[in-house]
Amino acid sequence: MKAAFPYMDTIRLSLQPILETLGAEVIVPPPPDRGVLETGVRLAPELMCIPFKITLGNMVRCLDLGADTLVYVSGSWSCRFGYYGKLQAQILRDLGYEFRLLELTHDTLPDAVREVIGLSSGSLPRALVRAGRAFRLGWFKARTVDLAETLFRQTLPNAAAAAEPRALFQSALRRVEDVPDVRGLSALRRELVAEFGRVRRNGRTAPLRVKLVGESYCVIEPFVNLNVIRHLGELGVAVDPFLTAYRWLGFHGFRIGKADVVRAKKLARRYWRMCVGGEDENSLGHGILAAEQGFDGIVHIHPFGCMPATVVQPAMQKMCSDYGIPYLSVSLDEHSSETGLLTRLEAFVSMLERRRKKTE
Amino acid sequence: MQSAEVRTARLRPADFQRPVVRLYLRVPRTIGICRALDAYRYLARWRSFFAGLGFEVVVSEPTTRQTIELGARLAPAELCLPAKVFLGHVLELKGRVDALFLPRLVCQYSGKDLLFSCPKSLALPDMTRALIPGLESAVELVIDEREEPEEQAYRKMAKVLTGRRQKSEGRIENAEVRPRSQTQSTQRVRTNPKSKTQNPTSPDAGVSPLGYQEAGQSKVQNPKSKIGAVSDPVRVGVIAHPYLIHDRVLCLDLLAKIETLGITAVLPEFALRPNVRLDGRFRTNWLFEVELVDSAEAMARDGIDGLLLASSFACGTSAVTSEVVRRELAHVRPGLPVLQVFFDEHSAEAGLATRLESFVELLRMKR
Repeated sequence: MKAAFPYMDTIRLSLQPILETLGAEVIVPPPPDRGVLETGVRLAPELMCIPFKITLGNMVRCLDLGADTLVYVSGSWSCRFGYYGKLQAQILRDLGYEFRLLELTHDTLPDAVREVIGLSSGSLPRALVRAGRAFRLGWFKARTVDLAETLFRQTLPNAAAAAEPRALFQSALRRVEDVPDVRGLSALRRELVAEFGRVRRNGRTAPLRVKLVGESYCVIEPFVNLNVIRHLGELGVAVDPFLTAYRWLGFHGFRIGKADVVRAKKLARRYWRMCVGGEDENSLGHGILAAEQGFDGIVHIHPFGCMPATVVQPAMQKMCSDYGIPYLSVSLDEHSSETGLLTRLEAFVSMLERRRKKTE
Repeated sequence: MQSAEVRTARLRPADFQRPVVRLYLRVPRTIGICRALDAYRYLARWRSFFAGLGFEVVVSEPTTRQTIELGARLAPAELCLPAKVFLGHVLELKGRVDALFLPRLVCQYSGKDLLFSCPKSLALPDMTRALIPGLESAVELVIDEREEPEEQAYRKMAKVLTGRRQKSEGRIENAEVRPRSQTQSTQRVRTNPKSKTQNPTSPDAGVSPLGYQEAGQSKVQNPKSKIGAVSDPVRVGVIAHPYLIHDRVLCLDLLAKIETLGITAVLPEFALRPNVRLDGRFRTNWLFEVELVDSAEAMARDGIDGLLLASSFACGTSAVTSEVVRRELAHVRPGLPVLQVFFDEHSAEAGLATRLESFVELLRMKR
């Protein structure tokens, strides 16, 4: 079995070792680029959201590389995300590709377990041992990646030269990918803390703090969000995304951080009484949390045409005006340009700076 | 630098403490229903329900250009046109009624399948409240059959509206027949003997079985009865949501335009016989979309000459279903001409007319 899964930034760094330890061969496509996007745009329906187009383009690349099984997380709920797997599979089959579609939903969980046992040639004890080893390794990788990301986000606004933490972060990701065992990862974690601590500072003590909320794929994947975290960091802003690859995996896999999500949902109920998908409730709730924690602004990032994100926008605006916290809504599609986003971010940040000076 | 404590002190505005279920200090007398979105399906039921409870029902006037403008000015730019128009209707009704009716249809059973509404319709009351202040007295109907049957939801709303002492049991009217098929819950409501005895007639029952003509103004007849009588029997299937195609201003009078071109439009609600579900290979879980995909397949098998996919721009569900329909039809009827039209507040009549004319010309030539 040569399995492929939709590409989502650093999530691959943990998913790949998990699947490989379980015994599957994994096809990991190169990170998305213009070519992948163009393939996706050409094949996908025009008004689908950009995560659909990118993952579709990526799946084409995976199939070209020889994948024979496509693994999707899906669910039949109101949001379009639930249909990604089925619709992409139909588009790809109509193109003439042959593959097996493995949809992971709550109903097909037994099938997935059977699949894992099958990978260990039908032996349950061996599958259990492998699964234990796989998830331990995946967990450590995810934690290490999360640490690297956190250190990067914290160091960037204070760094004398932005290139330094950027290079450090890139090398950190490469090293996480190369380290094969848990002990190496623990050592790597210590190294990372020390290395980021040695980055030369620019003297800034209390950078502006911005909460990044929105649709999960857009928040996590830098190719889609046009490096919004890096750009804000270079403008001197410490960004705190409400969702990271680690939190995404941890929550969806093992309900890690559930208390946080429950708290956000409870707060969001003042404005939003029903979750419709696209992290609408979560965005609202984390926005309120950010306002209460004294953040300087909220950036809401979502794909163009995302239904839940569109309807939650008015509620976000109302919440932000109630709490008196600046709000920037960024809608992204395949035509968005990094320069355009940068201009908007610069204006937003200079407004935040003026605001802080006024209140001081 | 400012500390976090100072900042949190001025947070938490008082109006957050608003209760979720509103208890009415003054019992509302008039209730306003917006002639938009789900009303095109359920208007007759809602109207007779509220009338049966003793309220005066005010239905907003048919959509005008001004309604669209009102809504579009207020709504986020990426919202679909019908939802913008809904907001326009809310603005027009606001102040004219004691309580505004905001439906939230979450999911309903159809046979064994749980079918959902689109996300925008799920979040409609929340979005409306966030955009338009002063809707505290709005009454919300939440139909979520994962939690309770449809009938129970109506009962709950009746209790909130009338207070507990007044008996609202059995007032749920059966004025409406769902066009696709009788879902379990509808049957349950219809076979409830109480509802027939206690409130036997409603002003709308039987007048418009689909509730469409009443909500919209388009004069729709069952085109199947016309077949054979017309000299030029070119038939084009129109796959569109009822709230789009039956709102004459929204869809720029698409059906009338088709009629003036001398061809017959077949609508989804007439393409499907009740209780018949085709097993398309691609199933969606959206209430409206299941019907559209099934009827497109039925039309194609029925031998229509062309298919017109009409949807509003940024309609998320139709982005999926249009694709599904096109791919399904490639198997059922390869080479069937398909025209896709999007509507938004900037759509112009002339552009639509040109596209329609050339499409019809193509259909005639193909014959």
